[in-house]
Amino acid sequence: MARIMTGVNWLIPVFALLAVVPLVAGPFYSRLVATGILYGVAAVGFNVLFGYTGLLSFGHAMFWGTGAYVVAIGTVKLSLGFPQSFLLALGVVLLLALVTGYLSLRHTKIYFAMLTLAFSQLVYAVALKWRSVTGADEGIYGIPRPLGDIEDYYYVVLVVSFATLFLTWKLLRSPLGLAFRSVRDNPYRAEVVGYSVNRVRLVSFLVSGLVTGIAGALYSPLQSSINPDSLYWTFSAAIVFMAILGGSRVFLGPFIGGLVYVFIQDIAMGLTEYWLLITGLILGAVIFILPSGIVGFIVKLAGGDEE
Amino acid sequence: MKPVLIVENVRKYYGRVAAVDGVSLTVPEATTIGLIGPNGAGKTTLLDVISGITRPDSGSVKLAVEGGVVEITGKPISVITMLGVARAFQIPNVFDGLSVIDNIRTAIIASKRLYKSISRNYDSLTEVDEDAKGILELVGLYEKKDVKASNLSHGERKLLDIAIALVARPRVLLLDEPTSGLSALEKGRITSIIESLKKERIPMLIVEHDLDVVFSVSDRVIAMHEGKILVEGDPESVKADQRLRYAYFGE
Ligand SMILES: Nc1ncnc2c1ncn2[C@@H]1O[C@H](COP(=O)(O)OP(=O)(O)OP(=O)(O)O)[C@@H](O)[C@H]1O
Ligand SMILES: [Mg+2]
Repeated sequence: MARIMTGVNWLIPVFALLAVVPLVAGPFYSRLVATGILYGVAAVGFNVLFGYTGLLSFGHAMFWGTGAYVVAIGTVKLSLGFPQSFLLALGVVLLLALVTGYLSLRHTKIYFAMLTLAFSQLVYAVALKWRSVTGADEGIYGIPRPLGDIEDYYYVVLVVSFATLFLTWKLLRSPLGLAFRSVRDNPYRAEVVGYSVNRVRLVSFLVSGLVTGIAGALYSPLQSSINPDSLYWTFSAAIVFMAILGGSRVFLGPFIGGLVYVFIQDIAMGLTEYWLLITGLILGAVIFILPSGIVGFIVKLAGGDEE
Repeated sequence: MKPVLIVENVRKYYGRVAAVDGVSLTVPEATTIGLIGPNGAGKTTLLDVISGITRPDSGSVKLAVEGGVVEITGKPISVITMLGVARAFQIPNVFDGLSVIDNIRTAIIASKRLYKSISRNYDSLTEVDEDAKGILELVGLYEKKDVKASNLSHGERKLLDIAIALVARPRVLLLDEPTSGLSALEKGRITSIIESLKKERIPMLIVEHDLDVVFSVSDRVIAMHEGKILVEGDPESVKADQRLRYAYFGE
């Protein structure tokens, strides 16, 4: 049951449904849903580390934002094509994850979270100050969108997101994924059965950063602009929220969390200038009522086990 | 007989408490050593030093491997495990969020370094599952293979912990009170597992409070008291030693 509810079987119907959006909705909602998909992928990436490996990162905006910025810089400043810029972005994100992961993983728990926060603020500061490359607080405009229209680019987002989620799922179902969960449950025992816990955590950190970075790299062409907000700590917090909102113990939980988050944010923004407060209240309420998240709740309703 | 594990003059202080105070012992090949002693004697601390969990203040631990003897003091825990030191714990130490069989699978995957096969599903590795089945049948947990470890009874968790330690053929097996908190039935199962491991000539160092069990399974018995070795010898002579009575009952 658990496998049917949370596995790759649900990836296909969910994405089939998402594929219809540009056909029935205009550019506004296509952009909104595409953003939700990317938020969702970012949150799934975060959750590789959080839900599956037991480490709370409070700095995942750095991977999202770095992915977004490198594509922007590649296409606008270096006149590279989108595919080249995209690959470059993945390389830079991996390198960033390697360095920040190596240094942050000297600690666990709250110290780990604080270190990731510190590194992400460092990256934010670089984006804010390095005007010639990043455009400072104004960011970068006029990022070309592959295939032009939002409704067409939407399918690029959809296909790459699907592939990313599918591969992430495969990895989590592999022996390495079991190693992640073992380290999450009992790092001490994991070490005594022969895992180098630090190395397992670093690999998880790399995968996690990369997946979130892929989402970010697709995001800036969608918006055709990017600014330092994408690297700010509030977005790291938003990613944490999305994962918990959807359910961190279910593979697709954070993905659904990302989609729902975008709509909550959009509705709240339309209602009041205090949208951040409203969003926070709604999220707090949902988490209070459904502690295992939206998808976690549905899985339990259907009688399935988590994971 | 050739020594497999050599502990030389190990000392470990916790503050001013000498948990282990200059202990030397060897575990020869195909030999079962019983380690006894009252609460706080330092038995668990000694096992922790051997498996790399605790660093000794002084002294060394060496392991005989193919082509020589290696010093394992100071090496990372996982390295010591991979060299062939297997360990079960006094307080069950399992992967709570995983099912019983996944607990065994993960231990096998670690010991065979299968975590690199990322293109395969962890639950469709036939070699792993055959081994896992055998081990779970040995400890009598096969019927519960799909139960989450957190939902097991204390005794079952204890059995699972021991099963995890048995996934690879260890050079030396360290068991910390394998029968504590077990029912008579479960105790019988553990003793027969120990007997069958003896037949397979696996060297063991067994900490145990149940003296009937110790004296029946051990080839040699070592009694510790306040961090030091008090008495050492074959089961009969240790059983008869008056100093043992003194250590336990302070008479
Ligand atoms: N982490 C620790 N910090 C401080 N003191 C410790 C620690 N671990 C053990 N000790 C102390 O070291 C001494 C030896 O403890 P140890 O657990 O090795 O004894 P033991 O022989 O295994 O006892 P038991 O039969 O109760 O399991 C005890 O006095 C204990 O209080
Ligand atoms: Mg003990």
